[in-house]
Amino acid sequence: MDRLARARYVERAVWPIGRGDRNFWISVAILSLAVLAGVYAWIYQLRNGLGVTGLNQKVSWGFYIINCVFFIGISYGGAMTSAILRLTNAKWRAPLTRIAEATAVAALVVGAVYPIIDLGRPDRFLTIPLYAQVGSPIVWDLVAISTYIVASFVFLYLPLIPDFAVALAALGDRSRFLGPLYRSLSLGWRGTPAQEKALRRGVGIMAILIIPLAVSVHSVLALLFAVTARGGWHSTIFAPLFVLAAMLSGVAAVILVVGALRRVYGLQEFIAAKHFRYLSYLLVALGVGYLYFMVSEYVTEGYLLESTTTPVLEAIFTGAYAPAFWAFSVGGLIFPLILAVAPGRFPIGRACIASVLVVAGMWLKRFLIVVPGMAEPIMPWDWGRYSPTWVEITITIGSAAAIPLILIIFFRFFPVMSVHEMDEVESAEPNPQPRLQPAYVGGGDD
Amino acid sequence: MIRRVALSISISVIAMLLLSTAAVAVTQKATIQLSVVAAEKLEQGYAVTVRVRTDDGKPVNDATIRFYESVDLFGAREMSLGSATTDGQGQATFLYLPAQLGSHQIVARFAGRDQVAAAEAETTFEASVAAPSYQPETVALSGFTQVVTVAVGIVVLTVWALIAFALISTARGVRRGARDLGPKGDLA
Repeated sequence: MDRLARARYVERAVWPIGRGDRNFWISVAILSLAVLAGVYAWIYQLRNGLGVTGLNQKVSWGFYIINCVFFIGISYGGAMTSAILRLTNAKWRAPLTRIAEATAVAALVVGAVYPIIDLGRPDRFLTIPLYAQVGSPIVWDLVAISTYIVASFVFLYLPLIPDFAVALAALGDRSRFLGPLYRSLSLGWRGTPAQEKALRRGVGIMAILIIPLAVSVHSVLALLFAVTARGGWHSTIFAPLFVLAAMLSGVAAVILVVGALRRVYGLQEFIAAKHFRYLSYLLVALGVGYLYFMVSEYVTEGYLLESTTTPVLEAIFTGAYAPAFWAFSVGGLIFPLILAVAPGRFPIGRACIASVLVVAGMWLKRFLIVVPGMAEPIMPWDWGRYSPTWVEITITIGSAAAIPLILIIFFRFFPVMSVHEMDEVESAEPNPQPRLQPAYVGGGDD
Repeated sequence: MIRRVALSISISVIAMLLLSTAAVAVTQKATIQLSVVAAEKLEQGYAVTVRVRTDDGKPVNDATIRFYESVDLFGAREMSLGSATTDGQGQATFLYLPAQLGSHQIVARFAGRDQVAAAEAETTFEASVAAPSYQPETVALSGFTQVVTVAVGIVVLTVWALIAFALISTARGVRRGARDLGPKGDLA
């Protein structure tokens, strides 16, 4: 990368810091309103009890647990995308890793709040650590999620250390207020070989750790379902199914966030069609894997047709939940995968549309796991129904708005693309050939 | 003639009334003698024996006697122990193995029946024998699962240690590298 290209890259990476045009404030205002509405709905629930929700004796897990699994899944995809790209030393990763890691943290923070909301009385959350029953998956769920949260923050922070120093230099006068913060967080980074070595080791450890950690989080989440004797839940492949679902929805969310920030922050020069094509390949590979696991699960359960599973399968395939199931299967899985991988024009637009469909489809899939499994009877008199109230819907919308709000606020203070990673990728080019454009830039249309 | 008939009817009615009164009057009080002794076999606990008799000393047979223990469980109340039926001697025995050692207050109660009134008796005894405490059955693989729990705990601690190591070693390495270069080193 020549000095001019690097300067443009740095300028774009730090461009959002401290800036706030009209669109920025409008976005912040709208998203904040949605978040505040969600907070109001939660306070309303705290004052009046869980009776204001659609949760009931039979269906005690509704939108809250669906959202918990969904948002933590998105976080998983973000962390995995970044970790895998780092570990495989993908040359095109540099402009994407920061966005993927920040998405992971934002979604995780939002997802981790949901078990507390679902409790009704937040103070009872302390019961889990105070009276821990080590045989219960929920204890290990708490352990896995808390470990994963800490690891995600560390995984986000470590690659930021050199970028704080870069931002400090690049911002000049604009860093008047943020300067002291950047100076302390950069730990005196000057890019010496010793510092590079220390950073590489730390990031390497975290990149390796974050993958099994994320797998463990979703495996334990899946165990909460799989060890419960409900129709459709008691499945041996729930853990890998949950892990794949998380990766699929997470990669789709990363594509969406990358697509949005690319346009909003003018990163078109650095995040090109090539990046979306590669991410689309990842999306399709995960989607095909998920499809395989899902079909395998349904074929096995459908062949046996045990008394507890039969009503659930009937409800999903042909009953009350059939519209949601077929909308997910066709519109949220098969069609978007074809759309993403098909050759042709507009790869970025197609990748983003496919990602929207996948994200919506994966939320529906979580709904189809949670609600029919509880509503359909184990005993003949055991029928349940679930209709979310305005409280649950408002909290869901508020939490969904919190993720972009956290991201745009985060990138107002921290570089949106990793400069150090770019330098690392460029310096590691094995056979530098004279070329018209640097390695990170891909061809293709928008 | 009519007078005689009316008189005889009146006499009959009065006689019937008197007879019925006499029948009520023959309902007798009953008394229960309650005793608790050690059962023949140690594991059977105690033999709670009742002897039910009417006031005139006749045994009351085929009488269902219900046994209770006075306990203090969220307030004073009676815990049903079971029942026994008296034999031709008016005697019934109920084997009781208490759950706890110490003092036990036993109540025997007869609900009464035709011509025999209800009765009850109570006694207190010191139990030196009690049922063994509940021992849960050993679950299959329980030993293995305990090892797994400990192993998972060790893995979790190792992960936390690795996270701390990654963060602290990077921070120390970066700081040390900055010191080595001096204050005027170039930025990366």
